[in-house]
Amino acid sequence: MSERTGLGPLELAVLRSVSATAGPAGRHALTTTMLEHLEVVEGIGPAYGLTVAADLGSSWRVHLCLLDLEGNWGSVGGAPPADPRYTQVRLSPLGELALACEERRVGPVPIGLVDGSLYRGGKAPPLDPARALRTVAALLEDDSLPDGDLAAMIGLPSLPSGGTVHGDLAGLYAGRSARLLQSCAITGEQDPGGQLLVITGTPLGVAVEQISRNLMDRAHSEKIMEQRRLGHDPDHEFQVRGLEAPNWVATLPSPIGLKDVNDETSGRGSRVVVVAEAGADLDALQGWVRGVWPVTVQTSCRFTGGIGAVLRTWAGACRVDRSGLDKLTALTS
Amino acid sequence: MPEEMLSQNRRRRNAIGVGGSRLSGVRSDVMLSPSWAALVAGRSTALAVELAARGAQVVVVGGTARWLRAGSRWPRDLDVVVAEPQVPALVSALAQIGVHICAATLRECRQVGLTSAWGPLDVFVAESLPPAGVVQVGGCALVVAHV
Repeated sequence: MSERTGLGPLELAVLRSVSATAGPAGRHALTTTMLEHLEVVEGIGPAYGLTVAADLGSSWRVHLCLLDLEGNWGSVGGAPPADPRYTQVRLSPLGELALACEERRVGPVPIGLVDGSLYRGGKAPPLDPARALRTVAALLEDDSLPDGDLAAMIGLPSLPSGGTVHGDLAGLYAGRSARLLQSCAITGEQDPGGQLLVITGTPLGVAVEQISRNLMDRAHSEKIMEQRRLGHDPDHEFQVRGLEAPNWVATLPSPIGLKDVNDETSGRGSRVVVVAEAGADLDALQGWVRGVWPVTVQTSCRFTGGIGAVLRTWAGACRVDRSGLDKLTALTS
Repeated sequence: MPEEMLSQNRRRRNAIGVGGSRLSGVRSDVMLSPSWAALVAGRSTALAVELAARGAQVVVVGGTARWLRAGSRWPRDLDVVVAEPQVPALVSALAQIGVHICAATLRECRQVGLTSAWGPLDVFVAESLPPAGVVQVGGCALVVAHV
């Protein structure tokens, strides 16, 4: 892991290949050209490189997008990306800064502190960029700040996908392996059609399409279980109704007050609308929705050595030359 | 939208306490245990109940078994062992909850990781089942490994 940016070798190789193939004046390169360079010069296969490039340029995967992606690279909804022959890529201003830092043209930039490693399957959760950078700057001014103050300044982990984080934050910041719950951001809305629960933010790495599908699967299952509890025989109904059985299930009353689920996710972001039945208990329904996987997922997270040690390491690096930190702060503010 | 409806909506949203804003200002040294956390903790058990109710004959092992037996820390997923002759019944139960895998694949791979609306599920196909006993959960008899 680079001590100057916190990026891994795969990520740095992708940045170098994008820089080498996109050329000057911020032009986009064909993704296939970049991937060829990555394989020939860096020795990294295109399949691996493509995944890393998509991560580095997707705003629902990382706070600090180092790549500017053109064309269909997939979506937060779970839509598949186009073939790399039809997409393009170039460095974003943050990507330019990261490479400049690695080439020692500016001081260290704590990208790894902000984005953590959770997006690539690691254990460090992402942090709010402004809070993280402000905390490192505060340590540059006063390196005697106690760890408790630093944890308070950092606040909660912040998911670029907009979901919320709950769990043993004291343990996490103390350096222990902590089981955290990532959950969707959910708001209540009133609609002419009834009461709504609207899911916007999601846990990191979760496709919105899977959320809406699983909500419907669980709602369907709850109805069948309720029929059994009431002494009915749904298996008999399935045999009799055959292909019409799904329609029959749709007409059954929902024991949890869920009427419908609509995925309205678009280019503007995630939006899954849960329509409640008239008179439904919204609190209970919200609890039920959060119990459905992957509306809420469990994640093991850890800051090795504790958040204080991690921040002090970055502050120590930036104390030698704070130009990178200042430029990153300017680009993200 | 009438003002009354707007204010009702605002009150409801406050009552629900959902969204990111609720978290701002929460001290980072506080153990956050939302009211719905128990539903998340119990969903691997709920998955086992769903499978049993649909005719699957499996033995619950791993974290969920420890949680049911000893109340240890929250299980991350559901691990079950199934005897080879019982694979078709498990496949049928899985299909009923929207998880699709064919029996031949399960028999060939022996260890398969799946996901469901109740969370991740690891299935182990074995020739002999581990020592287990029955645990009653909400009127359903789950076969749970001794830990």
